[in-house]
Amino acid sequence: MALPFPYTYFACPCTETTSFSSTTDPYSTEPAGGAAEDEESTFHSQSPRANYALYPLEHLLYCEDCHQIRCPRCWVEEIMTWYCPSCLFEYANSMVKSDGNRCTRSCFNCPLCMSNLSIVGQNEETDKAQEGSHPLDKGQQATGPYFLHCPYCSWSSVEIGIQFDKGKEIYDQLQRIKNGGRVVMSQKDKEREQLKLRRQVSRGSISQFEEPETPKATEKESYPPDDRDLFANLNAFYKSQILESTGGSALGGAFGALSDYGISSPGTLSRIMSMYGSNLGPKRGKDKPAPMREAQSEMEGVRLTKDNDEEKIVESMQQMGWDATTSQEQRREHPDNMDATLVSDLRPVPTLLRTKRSKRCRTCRHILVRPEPKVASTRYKIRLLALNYIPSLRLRPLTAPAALGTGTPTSSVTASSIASSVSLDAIPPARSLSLLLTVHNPLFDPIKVTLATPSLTPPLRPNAPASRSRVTILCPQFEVGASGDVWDEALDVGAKESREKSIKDAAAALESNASGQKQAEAGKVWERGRNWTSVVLEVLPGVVNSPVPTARFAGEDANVLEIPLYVRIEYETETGPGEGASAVERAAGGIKERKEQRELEYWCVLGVGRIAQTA
Amino acid sequence: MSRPSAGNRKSTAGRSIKGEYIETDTGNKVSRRAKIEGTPNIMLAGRTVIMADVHLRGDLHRTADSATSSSNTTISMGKYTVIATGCTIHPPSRLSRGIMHFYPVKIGDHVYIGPECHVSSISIASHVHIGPRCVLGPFSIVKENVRILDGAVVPQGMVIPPGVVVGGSPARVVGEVPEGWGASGRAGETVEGGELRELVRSIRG
Repeated sequence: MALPFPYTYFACPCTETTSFSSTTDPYSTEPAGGAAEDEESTFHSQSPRANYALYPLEHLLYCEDCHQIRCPRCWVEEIMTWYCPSCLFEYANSMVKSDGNRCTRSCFNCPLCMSNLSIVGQNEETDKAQEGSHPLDKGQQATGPYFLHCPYCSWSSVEIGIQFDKGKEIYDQLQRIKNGGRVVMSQKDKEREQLKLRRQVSRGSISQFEEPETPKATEKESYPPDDRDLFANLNAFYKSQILESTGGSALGGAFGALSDYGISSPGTLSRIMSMYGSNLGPKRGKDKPAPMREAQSEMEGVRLTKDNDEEKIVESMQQMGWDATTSQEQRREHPDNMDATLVSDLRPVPTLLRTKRSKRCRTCRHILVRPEPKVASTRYKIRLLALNYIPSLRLRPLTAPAALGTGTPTSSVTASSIASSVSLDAIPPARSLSLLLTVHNPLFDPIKVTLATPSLTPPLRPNAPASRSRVTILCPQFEVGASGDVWDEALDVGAKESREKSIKDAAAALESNASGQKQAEAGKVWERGRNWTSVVLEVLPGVVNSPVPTARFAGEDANVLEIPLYVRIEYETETGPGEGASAVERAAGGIKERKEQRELEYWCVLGVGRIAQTA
Repeated sequence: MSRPSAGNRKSTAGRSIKGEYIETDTGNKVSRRAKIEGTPNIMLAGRTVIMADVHLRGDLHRTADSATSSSNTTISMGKYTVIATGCTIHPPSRLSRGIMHFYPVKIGDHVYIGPECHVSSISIASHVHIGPRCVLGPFSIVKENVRILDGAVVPQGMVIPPGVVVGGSPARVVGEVPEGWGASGRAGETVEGGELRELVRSIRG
């Protein structure tokens, strides 16, 4: 997902397998001349693998039992409800199992453009309009025959010769109609017919198998059976074969030589079993079931290709041109359409169902997210969002207080400290840039934050050391106050003082800004609020040359300045029954809980912007 | 004409200040440059922002002859809904027996409609974020917590289920919004899908 600059992505700790244990000293990655041996252990924001580890904070969850961030890779999903996205009808699990994962009511998608099809009556309100009824109701009165119509591309089921008598239960009606309007037999009729045929065959001689010239088969010739029929036939055939072979029918034995070596035949299976199972072997060998033969006719599920089949297709393609052929996407949309070469072979696609899912932690199996099962409800019973547990980071540019780089000093220093003029889509290379990083604390306990970053960002392109940007965090260690109600703070005297102080600081900052004096100092936070602290980052962007035509790495992100940032937070929190106690109670000291020290560490990637490319 | 409460209605007689926006008693901010037709048929719940060059077709009510009937609100908008510049809200219509029937548009709370959109939906639920230059076809229904990507063309009659991301032309469901959608807003910030209180507050005449 492309977010606008500046963005922050969080790396789920599940991606670090061995490189990071809790014992890793965060300072090992501190800018100390760029220790080469530590380079490997830092998060490589440019590696292709990083794409799978980074998420915006909203996408992440937090497991309260593991005290860890959870990403889509480390949670498991459980389907709670199936529903049709178009009619919002809930499907029971059993229905999905029996009828498949598509809407079996009247929801269809256009086979050409995949937008929703609407059911349109051909003769709209013929004579049923009554005077008394509201005009709104009259609009709905359309009478059959009905057809499906795409409001986006104007495709209609009339084009493939399908019309419906009723405006409801289109799915069932469509099942019975082939393209071109031919009505197919229902499954029951088919089975009955099959049974009749088979009886005829079994009563007759073997020669009938080789020449299935029954009247029914010739009738079918004009319409080749579709995949579903073939599968049904094949299924029925094998069922009957199993029945015959286990029943010890003499008929099955006659074909033993033909199919004994077929891989899937039970004869082969029993032979293999006798090979490996020594105790079973000799006994089984004697009453070995009669092997089955393979399907031979269309009735038995074999698709017979005729010589002119393909020629016909080529011919029609030649006649109708490119537009009449289906795209791969259209064919992939539904199994019915997979063999469709021409647009006229496509069938309307029943809408795929969607699901509501709950999420569990993969490690401890605790539920992280549990929505209400109803489709219409958007509330959650349980929702443990990472953004309620881990501090969020916001980045914004700050006008360079003084040009540290070689470039000319910034031309206009605005009164406000936020540089609206700095375009993050074209950051001037090799010119110092100051960024303000604000850390917000969502927890009800004050946290100690330690930030670390590799002194040089990973190279944007292989073999381009100049493209590495130098990053310095002026104040890598600081505290962020607790979150909570705004009123808690007003009640708390100490906090009030600090607040006043911060206001004073801010005022002073504003004053100094007005005169363009405020300098970012090393080891000092820039600004501090109730539950947030901002520090200054200094970046010396690398130089990025214009993309080399041959380089396959020079994609669209080849000039994005991204800073890997390691965040470690430490805080003390109460455990046990007092966990839910409000900050007021805690401040009053009414409840004495056991304090627990917790720490959390993770990598982030700060996307600053694009470095302007030099020719 | 009966109405639940006259105060809820956008009234030009409200407290007006010189500047880009006219602010009503209920906190609606309507740009002076917005083009609003059929004002009596438009219902704003309060603290709604209508930016410049927005075209509200409130004049397209149900039928020409039913203008005297009790309910002919054509456009209703919830609280903290922002209609960005250059949008058109056009009630959907259906031709029936030679008469054009218009159907009312209902927009929920905390809905953001990006610049230069054309909206003919029958209903848009709450916490919906619509990107710029989208087309929402007639009779489309947008459910809660939906994000419509830039330039999406929602075909006529499409139902967008709750909690999805929709994009493309024709629009189709391309993903789901994360659980934390709209929840990451801090005080003084506005995030997509979240509460638009701050955004509305920040718009001044």
